[in-house]
Amino acid sequence: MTPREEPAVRAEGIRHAWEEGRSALRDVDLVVRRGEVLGVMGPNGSGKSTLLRVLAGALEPDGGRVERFGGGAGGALRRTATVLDRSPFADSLPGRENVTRLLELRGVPGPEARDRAETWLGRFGLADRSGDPVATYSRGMRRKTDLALAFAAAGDLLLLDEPLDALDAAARSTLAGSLRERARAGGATVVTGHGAAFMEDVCDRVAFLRAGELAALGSPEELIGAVEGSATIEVELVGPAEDGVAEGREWPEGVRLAARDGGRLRFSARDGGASLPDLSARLLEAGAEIAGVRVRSPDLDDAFLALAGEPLRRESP
Amino acid sequence: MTGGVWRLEWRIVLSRPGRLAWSVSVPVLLLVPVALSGAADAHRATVYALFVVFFGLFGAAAPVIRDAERGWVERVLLTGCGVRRWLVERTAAHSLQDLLQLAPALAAVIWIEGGARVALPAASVTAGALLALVAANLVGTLVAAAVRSLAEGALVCAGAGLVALHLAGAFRPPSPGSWQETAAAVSPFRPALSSFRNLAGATDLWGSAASVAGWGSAGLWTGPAAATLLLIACAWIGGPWVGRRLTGTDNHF
Repeated sequence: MTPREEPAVRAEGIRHAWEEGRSALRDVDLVVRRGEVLGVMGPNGSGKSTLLRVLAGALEPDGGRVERFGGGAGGALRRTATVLDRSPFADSLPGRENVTRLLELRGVPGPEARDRAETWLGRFGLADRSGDPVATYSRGMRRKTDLALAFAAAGDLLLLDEPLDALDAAARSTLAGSLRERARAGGATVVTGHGAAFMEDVCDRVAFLRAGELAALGSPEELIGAVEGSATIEVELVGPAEDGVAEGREWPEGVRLAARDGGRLRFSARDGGASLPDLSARLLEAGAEIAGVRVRSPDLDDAFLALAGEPLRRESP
Repeated sequence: MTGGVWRLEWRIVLSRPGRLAWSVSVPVLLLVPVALSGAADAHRATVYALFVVFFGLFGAAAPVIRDAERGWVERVLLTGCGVRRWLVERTAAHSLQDLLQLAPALAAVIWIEGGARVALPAASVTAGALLALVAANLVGTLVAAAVRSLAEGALVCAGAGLVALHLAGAFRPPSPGSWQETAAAVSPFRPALSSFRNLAGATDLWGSAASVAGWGSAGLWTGPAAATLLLIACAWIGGPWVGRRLTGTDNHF
């Protein structure tokens, strides 16, 4: 296998438990290839951030083996850029200087570090504010600075934990474009999150993590293909759904109640939206008051539900 | 890049002029009244030494605990700079910063205590304070790694500072030939204490200002300097543990 063909990271049988004994990861096998964007999706507490730390080389798992860049952990930190859930900086220093100094710690010479900092802060829309102390930044601006630092580091492996958090639409678009650009250049990226549309857009493969276990892994198309119906019908009821409305009902042929979350019912429908009138009629018969209906194609959210057996996000009732 | 942590720490401290001015003013405001108080010579000297040691201990532990809690330490270590390098460069930068922040207060104390006649004790006060600050910064960082909160850190630093000064002979002269005398002879805080005693005109185990600061005193400084190097070596060996503690469970940098 040539160095180019070697995976960036190969993780085998990764197990980890926190001090209180709670399992964070259970026998996770994962390969991150060069030139790919791998998405990791799962509900809160499913082990996404823990997995990212293990892949970064910042967390020694209790069991299993991680091979980075065809070798051990030596030098792995320098070749890996990581954006974790927090965005801490030296708040009294400007964003530009934070990025420059942290790049210097990675061994990037000063002038080049300054150039890279200017370039990437500009791409994420911070050119005008890069000279201001980070203390004056909003949460979104801190996140953008963090992403600028990660891309400027130009590591062989980029690990992003919930990167969409607090980002505006323009920055999301820059992030998506930059990830595709990186992949074309052969960089490996792992990105965690809940944004189904974003993941579908930028990821070559997606891993579903449920309670620390790998529930499914495949391209977005493969995963979505596992959803039974050709459409997802979401029905919003006025108030929480009574058991009598949702449970034990006979639904139109080809329609299945996939999930129920408070007053929101999610159906998978084999024949698309054609069964909607019949479905609405049966709900009204059952005494439900319908506040809204949405018919859409299945996405990674639906695929997670189908393959992992639980919703990706639990919404408040 | 070697020196990267050192430069970063200096840039951070210089980017906060208000806080820097406060850090310079507080020692002046606290130590000048002591120098003018007319308290017993030995007591004034002990207060000076206590202040320097606490300044280094708290000044190291509190920011490290805060930086660890907000993820900054992990951010720096994830650059791959190495926890040992971080520890050494940070300690060096902060020890020197502490000395510079204390300089106006020490200058005022030296002037009040002895006017222009104290060139020799002044030199030994400066050198002794630097040695004490290096040791205190190292201990403070280790305390930060060991504790789980700022309050716990403050408590442990206070206890550690008092014990360290007691072992240096600050509160009771050690009996001749006892292990306490040996401990005092090698304590990194001893040179500062002896220098302050000479400055304040108190009698000291090591003798006069000339014997503490003069060229013939090399033997008196060897033990404390060796003990400080030993502390640095311990921190170097324990670096990975410090990294794990400051970045959450199990991290290995």
